[in-house]
Amino acid sequence: MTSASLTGEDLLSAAPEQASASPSAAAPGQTDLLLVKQVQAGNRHAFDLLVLRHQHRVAALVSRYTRQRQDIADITQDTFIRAYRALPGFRGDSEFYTWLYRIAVNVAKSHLATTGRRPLHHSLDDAENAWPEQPQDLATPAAVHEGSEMIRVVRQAWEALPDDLREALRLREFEGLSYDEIAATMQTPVGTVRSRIFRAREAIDRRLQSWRAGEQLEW
Amino acid sequence: MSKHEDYRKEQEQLSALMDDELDADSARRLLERMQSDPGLGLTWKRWHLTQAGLRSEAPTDVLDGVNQALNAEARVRQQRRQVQQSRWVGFAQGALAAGLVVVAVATLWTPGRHAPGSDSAPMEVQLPTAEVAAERSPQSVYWSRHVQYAGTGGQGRWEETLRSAVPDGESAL
Repeated sequence: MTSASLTGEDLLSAAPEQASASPSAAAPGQTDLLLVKQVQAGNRHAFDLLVLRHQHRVAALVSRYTRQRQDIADITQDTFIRAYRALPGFRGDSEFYTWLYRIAVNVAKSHLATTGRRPLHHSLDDAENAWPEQPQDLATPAAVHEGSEMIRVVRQAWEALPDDLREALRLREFEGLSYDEIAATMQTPVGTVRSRIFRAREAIDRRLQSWRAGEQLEW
Repeated sequence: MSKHEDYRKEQEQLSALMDDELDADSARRLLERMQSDPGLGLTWKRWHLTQAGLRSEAPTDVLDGVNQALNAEARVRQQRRQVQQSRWVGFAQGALAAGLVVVAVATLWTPGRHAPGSDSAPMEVQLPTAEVAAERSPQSVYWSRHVQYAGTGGQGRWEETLRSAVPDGESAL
């Protein structure tokens, strides 16, 4: 069976034990939406999960406006605080991250205007297209080193993965493919894709934890 | 299924949840489990960190700061609510007290109105009899006795009273 002829039903019948990873389960933003609904119902823990899920991405966006590490942290934090206040009015017309992105940009611009600094990029398009740069803070070079080291360790751990795990995770994290699309590309059942991505994350996490234990660093 | 297999299945579901690849029912169940199992939350945090590393995003951790700020806001809101509530309670108590005073005053001081029952009847100053007698003039003593005897209806008693008031040998009749 070629990848082109591989349908969702074929994949399901090939791995009936993985029914909960059904092709119909995938919908971009559905986890965010579920968490948002729980926050709107009064579940603060769900908001913690949203913060943990998006904080790095928001900080990376903010780092295109300022390189000062403390500013990045302050703006990122303020973004989530404002998002929490505004969440009761979020109706899901756009994806949660798109909504959060707008808040982050507004907070960043406002913060820079207040502190009298000029943004590194002057339009959203510039900020979007720019390659992520490491935040710089001359006062705490160790923090920059820490971040760079973490990225290096994760990359090394990913490169050391077995081919099938590495490729599944690459297609997911770098190409942004769904499990269905990865299954079709790798010509393997969707349940296997799910298992491979999980094992890849687990292996990288183990490597990162042992590095942290060795380095005795706190992020 | 063994405990270890359950754990592995849950971790795999967590990975699928990260990728929007877990069906809604399983996702809800897993989120419930995450509330009672901090280990799952920590795994969620670490896996998103590795994801950030793969995307060359510098690690950030603002969760504590966000929670501190939100908790402080919640405390301020709670205090404001309490102050408002106590103001309303004070206002309500004041209004109630004022209302009671108005009702009491209206009840006690309405001219010519006697409410039923002795408790709410207009009060008359009742001095002790001895004091009253001491303060009365001879005329008032006379009228008092007049009322007393006329009230008890004794014509004979009335004549007796007159006789006692007239010196011996004179007849008032």
